[in-house]
Amino acid sequence: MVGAMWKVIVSLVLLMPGPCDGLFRSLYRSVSMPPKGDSGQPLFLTPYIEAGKIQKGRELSLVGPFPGLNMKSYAGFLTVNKTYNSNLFFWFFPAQIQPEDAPVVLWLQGGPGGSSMFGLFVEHGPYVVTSNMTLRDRDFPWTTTLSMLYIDNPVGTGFSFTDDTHGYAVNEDDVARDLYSALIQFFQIFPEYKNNDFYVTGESYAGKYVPAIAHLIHSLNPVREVKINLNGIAIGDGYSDPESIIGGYAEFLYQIGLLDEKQKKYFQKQCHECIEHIRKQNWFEAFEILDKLLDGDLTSDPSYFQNVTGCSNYYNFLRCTEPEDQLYYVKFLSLPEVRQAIHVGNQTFNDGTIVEKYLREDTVQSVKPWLTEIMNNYKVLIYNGQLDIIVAAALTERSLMGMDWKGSQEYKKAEKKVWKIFKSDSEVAGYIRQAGDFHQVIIRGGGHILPYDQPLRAFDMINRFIYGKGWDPYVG
Amino acid sequence: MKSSDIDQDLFTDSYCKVCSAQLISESQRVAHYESRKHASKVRLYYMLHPRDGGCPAKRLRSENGSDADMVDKNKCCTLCNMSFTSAVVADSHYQGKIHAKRLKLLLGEKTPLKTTATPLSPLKPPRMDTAPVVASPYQRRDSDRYCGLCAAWFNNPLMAQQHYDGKKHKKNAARVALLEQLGTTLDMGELRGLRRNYRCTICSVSLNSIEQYHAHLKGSKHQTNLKNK
Repeated sequence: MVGAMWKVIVSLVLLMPGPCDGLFRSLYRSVSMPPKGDSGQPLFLTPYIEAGKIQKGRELSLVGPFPGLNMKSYAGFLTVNKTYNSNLFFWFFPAQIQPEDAPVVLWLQGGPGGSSMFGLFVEHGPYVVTSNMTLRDRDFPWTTTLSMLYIDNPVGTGFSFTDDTHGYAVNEDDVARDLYSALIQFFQIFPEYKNNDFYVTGESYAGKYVPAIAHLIHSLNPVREVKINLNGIAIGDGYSDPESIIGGYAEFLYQIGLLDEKQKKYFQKQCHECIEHIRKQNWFEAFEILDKLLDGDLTSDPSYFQNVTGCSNYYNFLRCTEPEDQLYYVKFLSLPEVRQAIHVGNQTFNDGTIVEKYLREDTVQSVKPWLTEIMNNYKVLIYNGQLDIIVAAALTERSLMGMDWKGSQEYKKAEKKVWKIFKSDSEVAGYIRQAGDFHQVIIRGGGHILPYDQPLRAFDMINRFIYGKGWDPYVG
Repeated sequence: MKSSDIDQDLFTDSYCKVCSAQLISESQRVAHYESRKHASKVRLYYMLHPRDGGCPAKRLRSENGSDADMVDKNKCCTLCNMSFTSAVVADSHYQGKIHAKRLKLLLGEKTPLKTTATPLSPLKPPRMDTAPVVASPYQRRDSDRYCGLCAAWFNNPLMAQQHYDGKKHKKNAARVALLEQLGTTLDMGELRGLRRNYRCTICSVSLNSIEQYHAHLKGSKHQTNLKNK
């Protein structure tokens, strides 16, 4: 069985012609530059955990002085598979306000192969990188009220790495297993947080990672001595159920004026064929169709979408290209003094290409069963930017309406609620549909990279969800 | 008509009192007295210090709060030094381009004119049918000299008003307002101070900066305590 599996993988790898990106390509693409000067040494914390030198390891992981890095934070590597020397990189920020009690929130980026350093520097970490490679404080960082844990996931993403090709994840079970190992070690280094509320959050392709790790925690908590205090999950523009989303692309793109009638029919035909392959579990063939239609990764040609719209950006339909400042963090992370401060040394900052190859067959598969189980047992937030294309809000709702979970009937009958942050606001922040502990949110004025587009609304949303504040406007 | 022809004491050959500017040479004097910056400051000055025979001005903010100081805006626009024969003419002026242009000049180029939040709105005729505005959580006004929330000092009330109307202040105010909703009570300066509190629980000491914190960790006292733990 194992031999047969590896035959499939080897065949799969041999079929790859040249370098290509993940499903959500250029956004996370990066080229690591050769650093000059002393980058320090990578810090591996697992040996300190095993030797019982928790305090020593923790102090070593303290992020060192760097202009602008003025919050206390911790970073380093956790070995999650010794056989293959697989290591996950983490960067942890205790909350600014009441860190002892604040919930611990894990953030996972999309891609696949997208680094969570993107979430940190572009979306909701405490720092923003400027064009001249300095840091400024973000206006509404999630780290104000939440202890944020950023992990480059899966192995081979960003600073995370493995020395063996067997170390790369080929499915969500692999992803969850490595993450689980990292989390157990994390709470050994920071035991004072292990009883705090724990949430798993992520965006885009992390719409698969989040249910995968949450489900594994849910499964293992009853039988393990060390328990992770999972309270809920939050998924932004999640790619949890590709089949439902793919089935709606043609109509959606037509309705927002990006395709004409003829193009819509072509798109519809291709998507239908893609879904046929998914249902027959022809994962690679399904991926190939989607790639040619929308992503343009596998083939060197631009996608059909790009050809007929003239735009490469499918994250915000008000923009044709992705904002330049969303790549500043990559250059920042190549600076030797930064690498020294965050204890990565000369480790490569991976662009996710390799990770994406190994997860090729995972791309069009659904994690709906795991998500259903989590929705039946925990607080869940599913949020979308109104302006997203690749995981459109309407298509997410299409998927949710098709789910069969404890709150299905209540959800379908739930009234949509208009959400304003403050009562005196003239602007509407978004729309809410709630069923018990399940919350579906659509945020106005934002796309796929929601906290970048709407920082205040995203900040308000995540705090209302995690702290249970409800969605009525605040009296200012 | 130059201002210097009228007020010799304010505008001498060597010093402009309104702008607090030393004028060392004739060319410098000529350049200064003909500059737009000087003109706008003079205009602001005369609004605060009415001249004889001119239209009486009012203070930007009445210190004693007395209504008696209020000039009838339907009779006179102090900014443009214009008199009106009727309320209709006055209203026409206030809605017009000339008045808006002067407001813009007065505020300077860096601050675009905002019709909804102009600092000189008391000069406009009262709109009797306007509903009272609810205090916005984005405002959170401090004094005219210092904003504790943003750690900003002001030289004059106009500068303060520009700050309180600005984006940066509104963001800071929104963040504080949201944090209050989460049950976090912080004074205005405390939120900023959070970044600067670095406590070593092993040695039970607080450090004032991240640099001091790192230096402490490498110090002998901490290393000794760490060994004992």
